[in-house]
Amino acid sequence: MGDRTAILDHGSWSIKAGHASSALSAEADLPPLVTPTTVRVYDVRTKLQFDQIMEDAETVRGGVSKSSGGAGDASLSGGDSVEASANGSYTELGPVQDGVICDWDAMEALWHYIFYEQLGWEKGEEEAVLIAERMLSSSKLQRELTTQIMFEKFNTKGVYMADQARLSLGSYGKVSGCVVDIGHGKIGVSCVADGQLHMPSGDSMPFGGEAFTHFLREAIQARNGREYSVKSAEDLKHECMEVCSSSKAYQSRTASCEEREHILPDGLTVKIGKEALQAGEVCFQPHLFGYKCMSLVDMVHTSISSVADQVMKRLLTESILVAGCGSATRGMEQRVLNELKLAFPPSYSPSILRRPEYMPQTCPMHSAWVGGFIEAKLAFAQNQHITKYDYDEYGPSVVHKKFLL
Amino acid sequence: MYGGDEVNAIVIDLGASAVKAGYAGEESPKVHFPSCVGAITRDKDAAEAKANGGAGDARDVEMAEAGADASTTPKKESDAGSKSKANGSDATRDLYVGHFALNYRRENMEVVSPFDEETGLLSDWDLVENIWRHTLTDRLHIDPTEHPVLLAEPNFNSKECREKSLEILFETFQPPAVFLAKNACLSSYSAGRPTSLVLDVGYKSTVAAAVHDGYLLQKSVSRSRLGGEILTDCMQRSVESKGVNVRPRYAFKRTESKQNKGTFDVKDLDDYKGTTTESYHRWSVEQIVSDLKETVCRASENVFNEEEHANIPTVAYELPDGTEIQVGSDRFKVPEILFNPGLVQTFPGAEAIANPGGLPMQSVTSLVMESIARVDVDVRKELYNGIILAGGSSMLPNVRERLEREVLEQAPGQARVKVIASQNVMERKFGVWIGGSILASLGSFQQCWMSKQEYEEKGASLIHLKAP
Repeated sequence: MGDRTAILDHGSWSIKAGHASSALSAEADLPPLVTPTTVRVYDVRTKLQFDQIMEDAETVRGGVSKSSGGAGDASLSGGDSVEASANGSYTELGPVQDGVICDWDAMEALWHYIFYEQLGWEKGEEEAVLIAERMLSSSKLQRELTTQIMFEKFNTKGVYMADQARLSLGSYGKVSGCVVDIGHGKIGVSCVADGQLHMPSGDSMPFGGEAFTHFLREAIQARNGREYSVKSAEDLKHECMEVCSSSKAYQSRTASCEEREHILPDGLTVKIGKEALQAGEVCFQPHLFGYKCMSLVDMVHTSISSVADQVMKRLLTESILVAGCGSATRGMEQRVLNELKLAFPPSYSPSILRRPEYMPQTCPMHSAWVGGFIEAKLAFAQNQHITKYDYDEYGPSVVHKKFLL
Repeated sequence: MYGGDEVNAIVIDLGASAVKAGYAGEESPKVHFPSCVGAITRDKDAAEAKANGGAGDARDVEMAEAGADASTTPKKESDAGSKSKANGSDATRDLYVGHFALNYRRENMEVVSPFDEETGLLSDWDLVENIWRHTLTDRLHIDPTEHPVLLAEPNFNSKECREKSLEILFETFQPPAVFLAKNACLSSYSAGRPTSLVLDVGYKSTVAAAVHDGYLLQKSVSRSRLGGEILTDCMQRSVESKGVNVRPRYAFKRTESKQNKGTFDVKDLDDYKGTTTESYHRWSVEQIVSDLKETVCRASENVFNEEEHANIPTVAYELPDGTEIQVGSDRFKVPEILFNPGLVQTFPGAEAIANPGGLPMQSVTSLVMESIARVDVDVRKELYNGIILAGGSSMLPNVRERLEREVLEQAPGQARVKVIASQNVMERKFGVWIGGSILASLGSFQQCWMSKQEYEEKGASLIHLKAP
């Protein structure tokens, strides 16, 4: 395994990427690269230009933030230079929706950008890559296409695919557990039993971080009487959104909530009151907001109940992991735990997994990436990945034979 | 003729209790959910709005409902995600398919099964179509036009049913090829024995059928009304007669008591009563009792004797609301029904157990004997030597040993009786599916598929020749 083996975790909001050789410690800022999964497509006369939006310049290691270059009809350039030279209308694409890659050209451009510009790969000396996939929503076809692109377009030495839920648990040192992934497009619940994803028990809620942002945006627009951009709403969500500790607490707090002024990072002031609490309540009482679906905790209960083995059920209840960027919301974990205790009968003792002290601080939010980081050290060393030879021998469908899930 | 290198067929086993589906060549089905579907009959206004909107598929339903929501409720509507998650529909109903959709209690949602009560065959084809769509599109995320489909069918399937299955598959989903295989044949494939007697102890019925060299001997198929459903029903009556009220999760609410942190009070809820249908409530309670049955019951090694088993220590089981119940001799009495159907009458209120179609309630032993008796004499010896036990209800401990003992008593003296059941208990539940997975991935099978072209040229009745 070379130094620059890449670990990729693509989500609909951001792609997490980095090398497998970085140091692992509690202070480490892992993953090194978190970049939005958006690609700007310019239509300049008849030529298409792909540009990358670099909004999180400070999260990039090594100080390399903007670059332009690339040959042919796919040219990548950094955010600022794009603003200045925008000379045509563009559409922003999010190539990944809920774990499914919908736009392969855009995705390829994004991978190109990550491998060659951010991770420092050289053309002709590419390394192996580990990809964290959401197995419940992606199809066999997607895995085949990904493998094909990796080997043929990028000439990687090896490819390893793993399920995000399993990796998340691995980063906490567990092989079995129920993973609640509070993501951008949707909130997914899945059970991993003895290192294998239990597919029948996985499902997702129809909303996720994106829905919270929209809700918050409309609510504050109504309260403040003026338009706010999606970006402002996102910032507001990250800073203010809070989850009450129980539904009773929600009732009393929203009744008595006072309006206050909040200053956003870009200088705008926003008046916000109970909307911050309401946004957090959507997962737990969806019917209050018009969604006819189970609450998050009911989903966890149903998911665990559909695993047949009694012993495994108890084990799963005791290893519930709240992962994803939404898990960092104030009060989220505590509320999930409180509700779980009510949902399960007394003999079950539901508990939420805590981040081990030796793991980086960002672990809950980016646990799939960190899990991939750990797994890469083992998997590539033991030759469990698809090598170039395997790919040439068997074609893209080798991905199904090598990785059962 | 259809043949391909990398086949990647899909195997679907639509049973009375659960749907099992997945890719051929794999060890276990990736998709597994109840075959009952929640259905809410749409009222006239919404039905008209839908009719104006256009064709009846799931997306249109969501849009029409979102439209209806926006006009009738003043709530703000978020543009991300649809509000009401009906994942299926037909002309008059919104359908909720799958574990998660069904477990969420909705107002006026009935639980319906695609199977006909009397014949045990598929009859509600709209439901079947929606179940297939949910399996293929929502759970497996595939394009049906690229994968051949192998369907497992009941041993006693009628010609009309087979043709109808093909018609719906080819017309709606358009797979490149389809095959229908009998459950018994698939079970014998999964056990690896080309000649065997397959005893499938299922949910609504138990079926015994003889398979010879991979082909089902149609005259040997015998059915009994006994199955998991009746066992669960009897268990429920027994539990309720002891004064325990089995409450599904929506019928109670737990709160942490303020005085002592860590203890919980359970309060009965009433608001569900007006809007929850009888069938949904019955289904929810059945799920709980079914779990109880699977956890505590075991077959007794000898004939069940009430006095003897009264001395065995009771086992505790915790219901969802926290009530702990003690189960004593019922642990053995309930599975004993399989071997002695007369016991059903000893459970309180058992006369009410439905038996539409008047199917006999035969014990599994007599079912096996009857099935073997209908077969030619020369084959019988091999059949005695290979009785395959399959089906979800056969997962109860000790059923295999008990069956072997009983058949040994009734079989002719020289016969060597062996009941084969997989050690891995889950394989009994998925036995039919695993057999399908094996069959569809065999190289020699690839020429047996019925292709779409053949369907278009020769019609559905070709299946009777291709898949006897």
